[in-house]
Amino acid sequence: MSASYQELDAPHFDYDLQPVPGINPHLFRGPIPDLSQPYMACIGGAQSMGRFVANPFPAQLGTALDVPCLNLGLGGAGPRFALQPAVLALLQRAQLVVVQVFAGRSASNSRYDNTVDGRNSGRCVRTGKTKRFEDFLTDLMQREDEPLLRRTVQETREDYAYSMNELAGAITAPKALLWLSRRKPDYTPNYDSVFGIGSHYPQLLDASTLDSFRGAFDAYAECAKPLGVPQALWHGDQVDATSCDEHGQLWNWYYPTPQMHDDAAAKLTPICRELLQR
Amino acid sequence: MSLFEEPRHQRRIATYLNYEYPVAADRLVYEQLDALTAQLHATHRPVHSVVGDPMAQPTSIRHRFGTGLLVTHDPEMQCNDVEHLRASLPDRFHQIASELAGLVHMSVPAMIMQPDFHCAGSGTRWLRAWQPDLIISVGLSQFSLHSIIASYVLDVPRLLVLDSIVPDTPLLLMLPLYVQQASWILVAEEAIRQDLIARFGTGIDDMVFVRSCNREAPRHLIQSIRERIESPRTKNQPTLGPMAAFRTTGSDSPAEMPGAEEPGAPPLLVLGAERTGTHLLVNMLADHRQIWLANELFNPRLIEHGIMPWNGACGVDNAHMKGLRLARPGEFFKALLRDGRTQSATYAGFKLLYYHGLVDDRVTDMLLTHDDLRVVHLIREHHLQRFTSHVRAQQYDKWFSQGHEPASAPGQVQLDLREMITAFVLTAQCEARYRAMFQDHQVLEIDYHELSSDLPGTMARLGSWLSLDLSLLTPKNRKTGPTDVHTGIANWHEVRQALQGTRWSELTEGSA
Repeated sequence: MSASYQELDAPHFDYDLQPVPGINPHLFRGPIPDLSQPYMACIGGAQSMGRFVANPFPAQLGTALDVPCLNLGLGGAGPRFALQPAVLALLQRAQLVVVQVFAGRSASNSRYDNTVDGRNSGRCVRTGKTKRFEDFLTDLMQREDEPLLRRTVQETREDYAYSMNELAGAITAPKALLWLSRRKPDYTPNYDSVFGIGSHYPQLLDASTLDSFRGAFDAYAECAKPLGVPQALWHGDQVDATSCDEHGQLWNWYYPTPQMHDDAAAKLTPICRELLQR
Repeated sequence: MSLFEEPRHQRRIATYLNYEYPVAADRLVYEQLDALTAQLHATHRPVHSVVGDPMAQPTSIRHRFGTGLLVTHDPEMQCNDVEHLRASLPDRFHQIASELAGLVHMSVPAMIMQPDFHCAGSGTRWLRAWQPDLIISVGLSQFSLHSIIASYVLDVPRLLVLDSIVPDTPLLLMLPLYVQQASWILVAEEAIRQDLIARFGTGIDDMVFVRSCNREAPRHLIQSIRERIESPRTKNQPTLGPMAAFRTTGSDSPAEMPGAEEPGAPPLLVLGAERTGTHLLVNMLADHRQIWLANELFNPRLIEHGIMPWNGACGVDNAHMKGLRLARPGEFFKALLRDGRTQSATYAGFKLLYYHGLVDDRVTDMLLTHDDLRVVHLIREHHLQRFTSHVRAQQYDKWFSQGHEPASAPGQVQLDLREMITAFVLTAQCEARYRAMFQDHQVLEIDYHELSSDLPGTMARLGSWLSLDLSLLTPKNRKTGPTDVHTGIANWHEVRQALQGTRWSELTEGSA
């Protein structure tokens, strides 16, 4: 996923993508610290990876705390990705872990199985076909009544919360949870559209779901303002997750902007400093 | 006598032993279960999800083929069955799913979507229809775990037969559930009983029984089981039986379309498995000016590709009807019936292949709400001919020949023996299921043999039943395969050998 972002966004951004030993086949944003030395880790989605951002919050945190930071942000990742043994082993060896709240769509429910790689693609139990979660939801909306749709959304949140609690329990190092979004956790779903159901990133997650795992982390930071949105990108052909105006200017309305990353780093730095001193 | 119409004078026991049935390796266990069943004056059916390889089984167990309840591997059917249980027995369903999820450390939704849970759920639904009085699970196998789900969800007592406790099996994690959810435990020796008491306390002492040296179940266990299964609570369970199992919620939500309550033409359904003559019959009936008959409206593949085999509904937007078919099959069917009435039809309806009704309960639920529904049920008692014809049609991708076309050269087909028996068993189960489902409706059953050997006579009988003159209807297509089944099967000798000693052995008699 990160490699495709690099392909789309070059030459405007260099994400310095590199492999991390044991986590194949993905590439992660560099620099990768020497993992035999003490390090901290940030894990999350493409927001943590820092698409369209030159200096994402994990890098800023590493500099501010003077601890090398391993950025395990990966597009589409959900909590099950972090629970994969190789990933979890890296988190368990870190001195401090920041878990960005992953998208709620990257989870399973009784009709959808994302356990293979813990991301936003999975097996539709009914047909056996692999689909992105949004496509699964679209099919469900066409076929089923709203009560079943609501139940499926609730199950997805339940599964997500279960995995997040598992993850928090499995990380022995101090751990902080980060809400990084242009919206607050609380929202009212509209079951007429996929966007209405999930809202902005981290799709599907609401305040009540967040509350069900937030207490399992040592600290919580909330960055919920659309600072700098939309972000002006470059002139050219439209690429994934951007909009293009009549002058050919591309705009980022989706991913956290540089200002939002700065805000996250500013909020997390004192929290993490305190956690490291424990 | 079809599966769900078996007389109730004998008690019914379902057994869970192995995914595969019958297999020679389990012969001794079958004999033990036979003895136990005889002691209880009962009949038993093993639940299984794979048919044993017929060529690998000795003559002594071949009579067992077709005596179990076979659970399909089809994910759409399994998903539908799980949804049925969730909707109709929600509390018990969630309780057992939660307990299992807790034991293996996963979320409840993640537990429910497990393939094994789906397989167990599907088996539970078939079992629900068969109305077992007792469930017996043998050993701590993954498959016998399915019995826990069935017995808990259906609230049917369960006897756990435990001949050993293997110390390092991962399934030991489930032992508490196996034991706590059991009504009785029958063990092979005293040491196992002591082991269980050491693990679970003396509270289970009076539910654990040791098999006697002649390997019979002790008399006081038999007495206890009899008392329990003869008790009014166990005997009269309204949540069991074919109608409880095969009908879920009724139909769609109340009508929202304008004019949805306008009366339509009386409904007609042409029902059957593939290769039973449904295509021939539907095409003939659809030619009658008083019959408004659509084809496979609820074929999941046609739905997936947005194909609507129905040209009716004047003035109705086709995209809208496609959406309605997907979201509200009941409303969609009513639209078809209204359309039929507009055309002054005496009957309106469509063709339903068995499979189409087994992957979406909404379709059969909505049919069952029409008390005036008439069902033409096509069957083909010669299972081997049906299966061969199906394989041939799939292999050559030729499902029928048009009347003006020359008869196609019938090619020989190689039959997979295990698939063949699986098809025999599943088709018989589905036949029984639909018979039970439409037991309160007007049903005319027609065998393919009758249809193909005496078409005018069959049409006269059908016409009389429908009170319509069908004598002028002519077939548009003709048979695609050879008349004599053996000439179309490349591995005929193997097929004959595989069916020897089974309930289907006579299907190969009289052929070379």
